[in-house]
Amino acid sequence: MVRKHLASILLAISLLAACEPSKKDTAPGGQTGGATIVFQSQQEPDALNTLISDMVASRDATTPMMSGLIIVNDKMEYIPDLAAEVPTVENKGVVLAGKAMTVTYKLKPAKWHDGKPVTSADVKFTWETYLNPTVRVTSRDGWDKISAVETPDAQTAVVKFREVYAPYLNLFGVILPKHVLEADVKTEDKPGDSKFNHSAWNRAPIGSGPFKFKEWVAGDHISYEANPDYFGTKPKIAGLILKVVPDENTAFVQLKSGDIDIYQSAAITQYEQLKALGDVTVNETASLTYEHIDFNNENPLLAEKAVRKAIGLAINKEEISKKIYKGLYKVAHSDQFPLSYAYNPEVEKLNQFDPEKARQLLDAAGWKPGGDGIRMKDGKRLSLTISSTTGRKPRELTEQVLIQYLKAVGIELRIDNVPGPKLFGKPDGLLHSGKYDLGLYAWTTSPDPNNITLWNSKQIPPGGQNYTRFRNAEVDQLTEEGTRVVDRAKRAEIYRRIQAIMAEEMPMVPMLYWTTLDAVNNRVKGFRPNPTNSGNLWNCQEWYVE
Amino acid sequence: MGQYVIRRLITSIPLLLGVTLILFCLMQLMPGGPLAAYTQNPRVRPEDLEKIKVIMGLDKPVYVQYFFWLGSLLTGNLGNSLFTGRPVAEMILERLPNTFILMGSALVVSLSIGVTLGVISALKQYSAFDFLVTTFAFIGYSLPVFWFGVMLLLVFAATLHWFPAGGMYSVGNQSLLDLLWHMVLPVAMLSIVHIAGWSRYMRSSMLEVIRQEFVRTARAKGLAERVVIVRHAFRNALIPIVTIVALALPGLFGGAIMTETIFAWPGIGRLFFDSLGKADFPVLMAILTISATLVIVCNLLADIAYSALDPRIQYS
Repeated sequence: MVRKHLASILLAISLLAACEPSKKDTAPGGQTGGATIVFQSQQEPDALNTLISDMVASRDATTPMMSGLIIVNDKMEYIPDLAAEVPTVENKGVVLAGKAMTVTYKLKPAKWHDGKPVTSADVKFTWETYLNPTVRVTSRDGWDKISAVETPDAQTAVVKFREVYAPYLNLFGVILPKHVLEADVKTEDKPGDSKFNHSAWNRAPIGSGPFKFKEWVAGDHISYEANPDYFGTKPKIAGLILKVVPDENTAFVQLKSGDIDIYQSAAITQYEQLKALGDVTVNETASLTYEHIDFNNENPLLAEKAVRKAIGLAINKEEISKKIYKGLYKVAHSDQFPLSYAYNPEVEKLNQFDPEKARQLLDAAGWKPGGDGIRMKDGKRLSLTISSTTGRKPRELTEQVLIQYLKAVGIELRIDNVPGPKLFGKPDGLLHSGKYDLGLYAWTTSPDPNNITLWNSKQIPPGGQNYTRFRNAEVDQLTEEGTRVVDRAKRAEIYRRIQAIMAEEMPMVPMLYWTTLDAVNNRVKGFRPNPTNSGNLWNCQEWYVE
Repeated sequence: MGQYVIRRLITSIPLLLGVTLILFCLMQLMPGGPLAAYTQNPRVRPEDLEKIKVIMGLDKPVYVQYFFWLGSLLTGNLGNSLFTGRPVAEMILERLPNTFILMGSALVVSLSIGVTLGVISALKQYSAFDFLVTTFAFIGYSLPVFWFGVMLLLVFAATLHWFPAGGMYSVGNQSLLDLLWHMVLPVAMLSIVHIAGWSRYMRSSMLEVIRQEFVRTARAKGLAERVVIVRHAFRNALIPIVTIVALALPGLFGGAIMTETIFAWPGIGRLFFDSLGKADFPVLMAILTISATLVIVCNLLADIAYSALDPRIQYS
């Protein structure tokens, strides 16, 4: 009897297995004719609107449909998108007059997905939407420096800044369609809550990008079709699909079975497995995000420069990278990204791993080893705590290694980890409230070198994000100047000087730049991973299938 | 009976109110709250955060937020998600059929197989079959879902290519066959765990009943063995199972977080988990309140089912 049932169960399984739609004649995604490329996203986007959602998934899901005036390419260069060229002082696109600044954008002829032309009125509308207090914008940083957007003709937008704003190219990364959204922005669903925050457009946008929105099946996928009227390089494939695959093991299996073509931001624990897949290329891209150790410079022990420098010199970053991050994460030397024009390669030679020098520094500062090997001065032990986020294995391992490094030079380090929100929360988090000694976490830099929020003493909480509470008159002056100078060479000089001061004063230890692993099926060509906020979809119109 | 049901329903109202109040307070204890997601973005300045807080309504005192939420619930409005800005009811409804299909199939499969295996094991106590089922039950019950699910995928999807590696439909194909094909692995995953547990309950309950006097009496009356087992023993043995199944019913709504995550199934379990990560209070409150209501209702249904199965149980 059991055998009979077993037979029927097996029969049922094989019948179901036979339900498989024959895969040979359909590209992944089941489309016939014209290829479709499937990319994976670990999360489902909140909304297809990057004004109100700062999720990476929302950005990636939106990029194929939208255009901006200027975008950042994979080499961290600003390139024109809807704008005909990148406005600079040299090409008279940027005019400085006293304190104020005017930036003029010429638009390429382009159409929205519904056929209406993209005009300078849309540029103006985008700025107005950012500043509308009832719109749930994640950040108005920079937008509030604009006093007016003038539209002398349909193809020209003149952006007037109240003061010189050097990172002006970071703005207008997405242009909104005025004719579709104007009514929503102006309507309030509830007092103070714009209809824009709940707009149907957020689920099915009309944009001006290389792909048009097709369908969003909640929790499963979003599909796009090529836009034949795209103003730039016409898409080479018929469609794109974003597939939500929350589990990284499942994403691996789907990549292996061909269900997805692009597995973005793979776990570094999967590195060897992914490398072993025959028809897959693993792209290793240096990320703009870097691990670092913040010193609380208001802590009496850490206020002493010799202690900070000794800690910095005692850490073998190379070894941490090799042992914990499979050598994939690259050693960081400053808070600027090595590809940035403002990067200072000089600092690489400073502060090399040198425990002997660390000991000498501490000896010279009067810190003498006590009975247990931990140094003492004026009856105080050189004992500190390090705080990071709980549940992140690599960081917990790093802390274990750091304890050993510091012990070797006579500093005691104890671990005090907390959940992410307890570390980053405002105003009660450890970093914001200053209730920490050393903090191990990551920052993400941007293609623009402006770092005033991190190092200017006016940005010490509660006002800003200078969690190290670093105070340096020259850095204060330089960070402020950096936002006002537009000339690139001059700006580079400013930020190189800041990096040199930081290397000398060491208010924080730059540790490692993350590396992003994007595993791509070899049938996909033209994939160029982009470490900036443009994301990997930035050139999806150039993707094709072989 | 009717009176009993009405009384139970009325007493559950304060219970539910208490549950929502506790849930709402517990949510305030989540570190960081809904704004935590923004605090790691260096471009979000304190003044930006302040505006987001006002638009989300989080600037008001907690008790005001609670009564506001309760008030709109009483008018049938579950509110809007803090992050997607969409009505919560809409977000739940678009996921509900998916969860229902997955959990419902798993329930039917595991109930029919689990109960059958349990009954046969009990009737053939200490036989080879019994030992086999017992061994399977212990293995099945101790399998960690996150591991076993991935193993199923690796073997049946990645290596043998019999079944798809997660998802509910192939994109562009919404046929029933395609759905069935995608259902096999997740339903198997969920069923194996349930079958393991339920077959054990059924076995012990059945063993207890077949030793009782009324079963002996039935046999003594000369009834056929089939009738003794099905009409007399089985029916009585079902009573404890009813409670267990009734408590599993709210799962039809709540879904299974792990299984849905591993098999990329777009169900409510994942909606809940994603919302938990972002502290999307309105979505969490809605799912939890509906789940709590279902637990209360299903318990009541179980109690009613008892008296239908066993006339000795009377409510007055």
